[in-house]
Amino acid sequence: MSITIEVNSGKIKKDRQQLDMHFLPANIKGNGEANVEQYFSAYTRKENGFLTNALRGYPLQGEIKKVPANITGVVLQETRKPLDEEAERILRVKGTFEEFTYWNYDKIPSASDGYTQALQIVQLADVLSETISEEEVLKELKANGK
Amino acid sequence: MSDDIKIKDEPLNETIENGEHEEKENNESDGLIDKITSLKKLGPFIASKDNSTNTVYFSDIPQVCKDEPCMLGVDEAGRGPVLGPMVYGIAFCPIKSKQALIDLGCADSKQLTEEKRDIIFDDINTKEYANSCIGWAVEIISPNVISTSMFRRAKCSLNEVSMNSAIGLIHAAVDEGVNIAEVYVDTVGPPEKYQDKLQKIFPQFKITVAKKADSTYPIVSAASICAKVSRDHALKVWQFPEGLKLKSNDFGSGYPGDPVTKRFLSENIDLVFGFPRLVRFSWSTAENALADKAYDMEFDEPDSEKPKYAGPKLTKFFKGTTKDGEVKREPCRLLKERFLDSCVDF
Repeated sequence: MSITIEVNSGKIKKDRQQLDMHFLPANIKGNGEANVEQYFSAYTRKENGFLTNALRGYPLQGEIKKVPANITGVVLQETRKPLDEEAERILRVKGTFEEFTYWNYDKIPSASDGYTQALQIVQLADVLSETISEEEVLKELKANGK
Repeated sequence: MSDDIKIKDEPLNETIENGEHEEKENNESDGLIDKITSLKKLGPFIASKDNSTNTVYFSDIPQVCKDEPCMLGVDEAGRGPVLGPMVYGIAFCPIKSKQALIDLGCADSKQLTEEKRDIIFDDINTKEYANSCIGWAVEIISPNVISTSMFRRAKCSLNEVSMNSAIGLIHAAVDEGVNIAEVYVDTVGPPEKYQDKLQKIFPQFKITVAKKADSTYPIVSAASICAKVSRDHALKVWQFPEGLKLKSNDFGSGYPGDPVTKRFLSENIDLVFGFPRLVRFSWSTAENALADKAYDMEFDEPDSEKPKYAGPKLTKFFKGTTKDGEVKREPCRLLKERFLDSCVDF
């Protein structure tokens, strides 16, 4: 299986049409367009420094999160997922975002939220993929007394 | 040190003053409709408020209500419907002014037609013999607030929402300076329990909680009329932020059995968001309609009440290999704690 991601890099840079993105604490079993502005964003209120809203009557509390520096948020769209798992898949860049609204179900967003913790992968990946010079390795070995 | 103390003292007074200023300015910027002086003003007043949050309105308090011992009645409107706000109303007047209530026609409010209720509501606000001794207040509880209260992790039942509203209105009346002596409440649920609860909160009042209090006590009937008229008008002036162009005769009474309401519910489903927020999502009628027609949606489970035993299991020492001897590796703890996993299929 191979996946092709079609990127029109000119488009990403040029039309920074920022998408109105929301991370919801629910699994929606459907795909398609959603009336986010009219049915959702119109009801966002600010309360005690946090945002409030509701999804199908369930109370939400949220905050705006920035996508970590040096990273671009990208929405990919696939016209049709091939039935054959081996077939090549093509995903197109639909738009980009630099911030999004993170929502919890009836819980004030905090550092202990699973999603916030998962975002640490960004720092982890940076550290793990840093290039190390030979001298640094030798230094480290010496310091450990070997 | 002495400077510190000064700083602490003064801003307190200032913030109180600022609060008052802001309130006045807000009222002015809302336009002309910060007072409901007649039936005509009721609709525009409600329409100027955010219908996704609660709105509390207090009439002017007649001076006699501050001087003379008063009776206060509490009733609600719109408890059962799947659409629109639930409204709590209170009315109060000096005990000796009971005749004014009778002259208004505040009898069994369930027997009154909509027109008759509108007339009485208008009279309460415009007729000198009534507005000189009767004050009233309503809390319009938004359907959005009803849904989100009932769907909280720690569920808040409709009864709790109701009682909190009633208690809040009585507290507010006390704060406004009403000299309350007697309180009459139309019951939610068994009268005895509710009466005990209210008596504990307001030991200084003589409290009567009764079924069908609105047909027995004219002051409850007056409260009931204020609540019902407000609820009817709230539906009439309802604006949909969702952009639907529908009038109140397009969605009916809101009772689940009303065919107009049924049709409204089945024709106005958004696949993702369900209904416009005129609808109380926590009603089983609404939930069932969505289960059939909208996308399935699974929420983060509410915190389970019984914590599961979290210690290591004895059998864990035998795990780690599959039947054919292949060693299974536990994911790295650092990643596991951060809910990170490799993902190849999406």
